[in-house]
Amino acid sequence: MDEACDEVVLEEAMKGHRIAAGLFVPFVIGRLRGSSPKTEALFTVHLRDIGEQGTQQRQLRLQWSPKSGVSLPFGVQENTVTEWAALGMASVIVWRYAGLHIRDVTIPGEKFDYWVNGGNEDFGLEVSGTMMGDVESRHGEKVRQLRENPAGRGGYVVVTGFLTREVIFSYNCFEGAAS
Amino acid sequence: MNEHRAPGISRQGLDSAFEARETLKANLLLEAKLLLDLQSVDEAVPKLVQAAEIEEELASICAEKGLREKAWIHASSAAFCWARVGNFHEAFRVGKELLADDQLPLKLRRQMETLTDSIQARRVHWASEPKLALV
Repeated sequence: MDEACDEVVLEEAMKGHRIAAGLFVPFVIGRLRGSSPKTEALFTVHLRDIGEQGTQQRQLRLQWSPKSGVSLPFGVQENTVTEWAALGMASVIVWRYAGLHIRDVTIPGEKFDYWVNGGNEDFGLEVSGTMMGDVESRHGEKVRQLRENPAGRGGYVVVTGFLTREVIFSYNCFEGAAS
Repeated sequence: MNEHRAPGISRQGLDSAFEARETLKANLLLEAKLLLDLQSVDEAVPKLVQAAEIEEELASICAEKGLREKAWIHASSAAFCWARVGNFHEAFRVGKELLADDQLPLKLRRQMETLTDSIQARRVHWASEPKLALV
């Protein structure tokens, strides 16, 4: 079955956020391009309860300028590159598919949390990326983590598989989880 | 856009000045995180200190406007920022202020209790540490 292909320019998507999301661009390109001169990547995006209840699947062609990448090593561990690249992908996905803007960052203990804004309300956002093929199980793990958030509210999860070129973006409601 | 979603955390009545401070703080935390990932702790600490101060300011504004949940989130973030830079006195103070609120949700209460109990245990240890004796 033919699926519509959504085209997004990475650098443009980063402008749709309150935070300085441009910081994530070189990490996204580093993860998607590797040592090749590529300037685009094709993803399958699984939307779960986004915009409407149920599951949808989209194709996303993500493009970037060759000038936005960095050729030098990042000076951070590989898993850190993946983490920052995942934040970049989440910035693209929440903006493109839910019209949300990343507005805030907090430090609960050892991990950072992100808040996205839709109108006059903030929603939690859990982000993860993987270089393995475990996108589905990682998504389940992040949903459980979101459920444990101290605010006890539902929110969004974005998990990117950089190897498998797929993204799961879900909205998760936890009725009665407030306490 | 998501008509089926449950209500989020209200930010009703917050103005552009608040948003500007919130954005400044968010970017300070992002920069601090990148610096910590690069092992540049000395450069990250001043950013975390500034972020902690702004978090407290944001929490106070939210509380004044009756945005209780948002106030809790900013205050708890402030407590953890203070703890991350080693300012346990401020972390403990903010944590205890949160715990004094009898409406604090259970999960957040547990998180703050863990933080303040941990600081209290360290205080007891340091107070009895001979190498740290002042005289």
